[in-house]
Amino acid sequence: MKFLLLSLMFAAASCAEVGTQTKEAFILAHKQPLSTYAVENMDFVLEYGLYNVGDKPAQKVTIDDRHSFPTNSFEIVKGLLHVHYEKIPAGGNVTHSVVIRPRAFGFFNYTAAQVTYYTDNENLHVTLTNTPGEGYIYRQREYDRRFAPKYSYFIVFFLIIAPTTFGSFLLFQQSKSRFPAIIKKKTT
Amino acid sequence: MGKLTKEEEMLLSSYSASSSTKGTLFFYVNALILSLAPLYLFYGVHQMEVADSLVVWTLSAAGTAYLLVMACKNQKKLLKHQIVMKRGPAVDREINTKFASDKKMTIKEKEERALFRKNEVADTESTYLSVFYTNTLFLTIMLISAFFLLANLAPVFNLLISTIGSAALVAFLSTAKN
Repeated sequence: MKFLLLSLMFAAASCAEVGTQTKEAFILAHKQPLSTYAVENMDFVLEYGLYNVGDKPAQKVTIDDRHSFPTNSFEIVKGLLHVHYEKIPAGGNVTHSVVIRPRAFGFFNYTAAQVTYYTDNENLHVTLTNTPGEGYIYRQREYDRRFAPKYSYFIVFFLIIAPTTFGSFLLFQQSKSRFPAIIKKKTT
Repeated sequence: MGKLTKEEEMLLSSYSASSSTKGTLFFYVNALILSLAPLYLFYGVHQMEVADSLVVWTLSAAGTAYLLVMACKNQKKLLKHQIVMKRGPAVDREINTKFASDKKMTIKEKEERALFRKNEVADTESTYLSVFYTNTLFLTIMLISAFFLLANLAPVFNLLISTIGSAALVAFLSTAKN
């Protein structure tokens, strides 16, 4: 039994090794938001990363993410959603970032970007990045309420309590000064 | 013993420790403001939503207002006597100068008027001073507990403990016998 298990493990390990060994160019791609919060009308930074884990350079690499961010709900502030790299050498990596600005609030499903490359001049490979998944785009007001400085609330608070608190103190002082304490003269 | 006349009743009520209607109304209005103001802070700073926390807010406002009115009334009783003693001579002098030319008025009548005036002055002054004292004490304790001591507690518990708790502490301190 033990022997069987051991042999199975060996077989699995060797298979895995065979599977991951690549002679050709092989690109791993990721897509992730760098901003912690997506807020309507505020910049949102996305990063794409390409890693060529193969042994040969990948050629004519393109990242296409135009379908993920339709222009009616997102404004592209900086960067391109469709980029082209002539060559990524073996073991090399490329990162690409884009700044977008959501036009509306609510839930939004961030889908995968498509990456295409040629291992040599003929073999076209099409791959997808990971999907960041569903995220919430904050309403501007909600975001401000949660993260903006709170000084204004304290100022309003003190304005609310001031009339009775300091008003009563002033009225007391006024009355006190109207009736000054008279020090009785000592009669000797 | 006959029935008390209206003037006698007024004289009696002015000497009693209970406050005038105007003063009591001031206490209630003040307590209402002071119990509602922290809710605004909790809404803004501790992010409590209006719809979710109406029950807790009502509870806190009612408890705080009740305790603060009690504290103000008790504090006023303590202060009124001291103020009568302090302002006495000045009020006497005021009455004397006011009725100096009035030859018809007897000394007894003047004394009565002075007493009445002393009470009036002490009543208003003690009302204001008790409100000021209670407010500052309550606000200091409330702000320290809500934003320093209990800052990391869940907002609901923070609210209840810091508002009702500090109001209760102020009310307790006001029950001192001098």
